[in-house]
Order: sequence, then C-alpha cells, then structure tokens
Amino acid sequence: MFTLIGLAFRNVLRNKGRAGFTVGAIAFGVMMTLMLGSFVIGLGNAMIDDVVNGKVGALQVHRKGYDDVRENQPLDLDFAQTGEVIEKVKRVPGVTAVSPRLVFSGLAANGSQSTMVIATGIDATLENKVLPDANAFLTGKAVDASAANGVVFGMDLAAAMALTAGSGGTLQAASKNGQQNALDFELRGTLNSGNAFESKRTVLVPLKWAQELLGMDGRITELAVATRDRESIDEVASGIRAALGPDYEVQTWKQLRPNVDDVVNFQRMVLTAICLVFLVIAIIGVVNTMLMAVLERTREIGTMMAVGMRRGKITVLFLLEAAALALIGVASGLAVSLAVIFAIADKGGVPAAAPGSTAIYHIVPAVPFYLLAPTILLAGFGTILAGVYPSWRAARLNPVDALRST
Amino acid sequence: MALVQLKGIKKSYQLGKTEVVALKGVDLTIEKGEFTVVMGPSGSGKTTLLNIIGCLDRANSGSYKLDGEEIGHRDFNDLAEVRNRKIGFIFQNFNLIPVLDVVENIEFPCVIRGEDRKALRARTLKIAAEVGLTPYLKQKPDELSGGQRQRVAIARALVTEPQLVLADEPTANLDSTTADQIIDLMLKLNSEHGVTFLFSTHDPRVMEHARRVVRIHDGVMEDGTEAAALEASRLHAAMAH
Repeated sequence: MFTLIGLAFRNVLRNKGRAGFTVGAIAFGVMMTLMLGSFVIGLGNAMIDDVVNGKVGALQVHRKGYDDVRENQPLDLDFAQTGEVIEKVKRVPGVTAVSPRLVFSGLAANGSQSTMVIATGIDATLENKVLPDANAFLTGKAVDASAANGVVFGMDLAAAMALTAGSGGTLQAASKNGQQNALDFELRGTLNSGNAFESKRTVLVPLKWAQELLGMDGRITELAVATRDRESIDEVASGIRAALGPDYEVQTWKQLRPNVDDVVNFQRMVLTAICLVFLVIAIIGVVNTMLMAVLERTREIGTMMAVGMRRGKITVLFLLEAAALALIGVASGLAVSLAVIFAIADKGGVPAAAPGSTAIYHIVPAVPFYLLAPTILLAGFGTILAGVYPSWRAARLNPVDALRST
Repeated sequence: MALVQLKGIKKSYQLGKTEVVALKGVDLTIEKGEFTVVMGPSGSGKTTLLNIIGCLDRANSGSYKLDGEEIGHRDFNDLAEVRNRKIGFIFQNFNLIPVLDVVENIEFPCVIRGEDRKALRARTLKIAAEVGLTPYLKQKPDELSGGQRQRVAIARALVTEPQLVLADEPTANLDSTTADQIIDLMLKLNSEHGVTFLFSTHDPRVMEHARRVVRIHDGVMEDGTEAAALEASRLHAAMAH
C-alpha cells in the first residue's frame, strides 16, 4: 500500500533521465559549494594560521601608545621581561603561552653594504610555544639559545646583502638614549614570510643578544600571546585588558593584520556569491522539472481531483516530489564532495600560494558547520521552495480542463 | 427515491471572446439504482451535464440536489469530499495512475481520505475478484490490456461504495468483445450492488441495456425513455448486419 511520500518518490523516478539530470544539478550545486567552500575556508585557515601561529601570535601586549608609533619601533615604551606584567598575562584563563620580544630598528652591514632592518629579539624556546609554525618557511637553522649571536634574515634581505647561512655581518642600533652600538652576527637561516616587505626588512635575533646590543638588559617592548583556541581570542584579550589596566594595550591578530582578516572575509563573501549562483542554477533546474511534471501529468492531476483529492494534498504531493529530489540530490552531492574533501585532507591538503604571497601553504580543505549547515539547508529548502510554484499551479488546475488534457 | 435532482441548470462558458451556452435550463431526476444513458450529438452539452452531476464543475444557476442535499454552491474542497464519498468515475481513457499497481489504483480514493487500510484491503480484494482482476493485482497499468484497465477503473469507482457512478464513454476505447464484457460487468454491479449508473455514450450496445435513455440537444433535455431505448435497439441490429 502506498503513502503520499512513497507516491512522490515513485513519481520522481518515473522519468529517470529527467530526475537524474535534476538530481545531478542539485548534487553539482552542493558539490561545488562544499568543495569550493572547503578550499576557500582551508586557504583562509592557512592564512590565519600563518599569522596566528607563525607571525604575530593570537594577540600582543604593548605599553599604552605603542601602536600609535609602532612604525618607529619605540624603545622607551618598554617593560620588564619578568615580573608582574607577564605573570598577570599568564594567569588569564585561555592563555597557553607568552613570548617576550624586543622590537627595534637597526642597520645591518656585511662589510661592503648596509641596509635598514626591523629586528625582533626573541626567546626561541618561548617563541616556539607561541608561534609553533614560525619556522615553517625557514631555510637553514632557526634562532636558538645555543647560538648567542645566530640570527635569521628575511629571504630577500639575505639575498640583497649576499648573505648565506654561516656568513656574518654586524647589526648596528641605537639605545633608548641614542647611543649607537653594534654587534657581530652569524646568519643561521633565511625566512620566506610570503610578504615582500617583511622578506626585505625582517631580522630575528636572540632576545639576550638584542638586549645587550641596545643596553636594555631584562627589558622588552612586546608580549606575543598564544590562546587555547582561535574562538577564545577576543575573550582572552578582554581578560588581559582587565588584568593589566589602562597602562597597556592589547591587540588581537585581526587588529594587527587587518589586511589578512579583510582578505579572508572577502574570499568568503565571493565564495558565498558563487555558491548562491550554483544553487540558483540547481533550483531553476528543479522548477523546470516540476513544471514539466505538472504539464505532463495534467490529466492525472485531474483524475486525482475527480476521485476526491483536495487541492492541499495535491500541493503536498508535488512539494514532496520536490523534497524527494532535494533529498536525493543533496545526499549524493554531500557523499561525493565529503569523500573527495576528506581524501584530500587526509593526504595533507594541496599546496598553493595565498594572494599576494610567495610562500606556499598547504591548504587543508575544511567543512565547518557554518559551511555545511547553510549548504544543506539552502539546497534542501531551496529545492522545496522551487517546487512551490509548480505545486500551486497543479493544485489550481480546473478538474474539468485537467481531465480534458491529452 | 431521487438520487439526482437537477432543476433549471444553466451553464455557459467563455470560448475566446464568444460565450458558449452549454446548458439552457436542464431539469433531470435520476432515481436510486437506475442505469441511465445520456445521449446526444457532440456539443449537445452532455459532458457539461455529467461534469456538473459529478461535482467537477458548477452550474451558473439552478438547483442541484444529490441524495437530497443541495450541493450546487459548495466550494472546491467540499465538492472534492462529495466526489470522494458519493461519486465514482469511469473515464473513456481509464485515467489510471501509472506508478501505482492495480491494487493501489483501486484503493487510491480511499487512501487519500485516510481509510483504515486493513478493512480497505479486504474490500479491494473482493471488488477486484468481482471484476476479474485477481490475477493482475501487482501489475502496473501499462502491463494491462484496455479491458483490464477499464476493469481497474470500475473497481476504483466502486471501492468507495458510492451512490452514483458516472461513466463517460466507458467503451469508446475498447473492442466490441471487451466492450460487451464491460457493459455486462457494469449491469451486474448495478443489479448486485444497487449502485446508480449514469452513462454518457454513443455506443448502441450500452443504450440497448439502458433502462432509461435521456436525450440532450443544444443544452436542452428531453426525457424519452422508451423511444430512445427502441432506437438504440434498432441501431444495434443495423450494426450487427
């Protein structure tokens, strides 16, 4: 014995070619949305990971006013490397690691030429906890406690100064009171940060070496902070602000690298637009199929009306047919795309360069809930919605005219 | 007792810019248990009349009482309910639902009104046996002959236990042997179940068996039981020669 749902499925399958084409269109829309979406989200994640885990950390702490003059790498807005400030930050819930830094500008020389650089003194052990991916694009060796004067240059900077791993030079910088000092360094490695400016100007040096160079023993200008997860960053930032009071400023990675956040948001906006186009194409296919079904089955609809089927039930029958198309289409689209996405993710993703970057990331496609749920809901309800007009037309047929049709 | 009472039924409709008057004040009474034929030339209004009696269409004016109840002015869903409960239809083109098998097609009008399925199945199998469909219960319409399809349509019309069965040219698409079998079957059901049958047909064999023939011409009804039955008999004899 049949039910209305069973009848809907049988009606959908009575013209297998057309049903296949329509289901294919819905599945294609779902597949393109999920696959494209997973890669765009994967690329965005890679870019954010690069910033959060490889460059600036989840958030940074400075003395009040530092951000206004950040370009000058001010040394007078310094604070103690150990003590009350860093302890307060560590105690904020969600903070997993804190790395002290001393950022300064200087002049790197190789004996025949010199160039302006922006150097960051780091404690390699703590820095690796805050920025576990900092050395993802490193060639050679990283800054390390075992090499007191071992430094890392941006890839383009090293190339411009004809420096290679093991070669040396001097780094000159002014202390807080303007006194110039210079120390010899040995180049341990080069870093392809993916950003042209950083690649031409960045130098990483051991924190103690930087403090010696600048005469700032035990002093730093920056704390890079890692958080439990990305979702808790804003909450942790508020916690640190509350703990440190008005003398310090806390900035999240979004504030420190707004361009990355903008790019990621723009990518997702474009993705949404493209996905909507795919879904609209699929939905138009459904409308077409359903209208054809109404046209072809006009006499059948008339017969149903003649034997007493109410308009509401006829509407429901056609909506159920749209729902059946949606179910089969969405399910098959999901199955294929998730299989492909998980297979690629399982192999570690695909290599690609982020926009404006020369660094190669491994994009691991991701299907977060905020991609999966709207795709299923939009494709599913969109398809059912596409059945509304044809269903309405079917239900509004005059039984006499419908029975007369050939 | 009157099952169908039409008084002053008028029906016109627009055909492009022209108003076509299909029925010009029809009066007709059909008693319960009658086996009646409506005959008339093409365009005489007999299909419009059957559509109104079958609650598929509504008259512009006049009164229509079915089983004593005035139903001429009910809305679409009310009329659907009346069709489902009180009227069975047999169409010239059988009008079966192709994705349903024989049993499902027969049960369709009862399933859509949410009837208890166990009792329904028992009744369906009984009617299917009466119309000779027992060997074909799981067949789809496209696996059946024309006569078998019309038997399914007859069973579907009867399964709801209606008071009135309307048959619009039910033998028009059947060969003569099959048509005879179908007519005999409907006569048998009429006498055994007491269901009222109303036909629209040109088939003289149907008219031969009709206990009453009513003529319609240019939207006006003439009730000529004996004369029409005689005419039908003569026509049938002429065709046989």
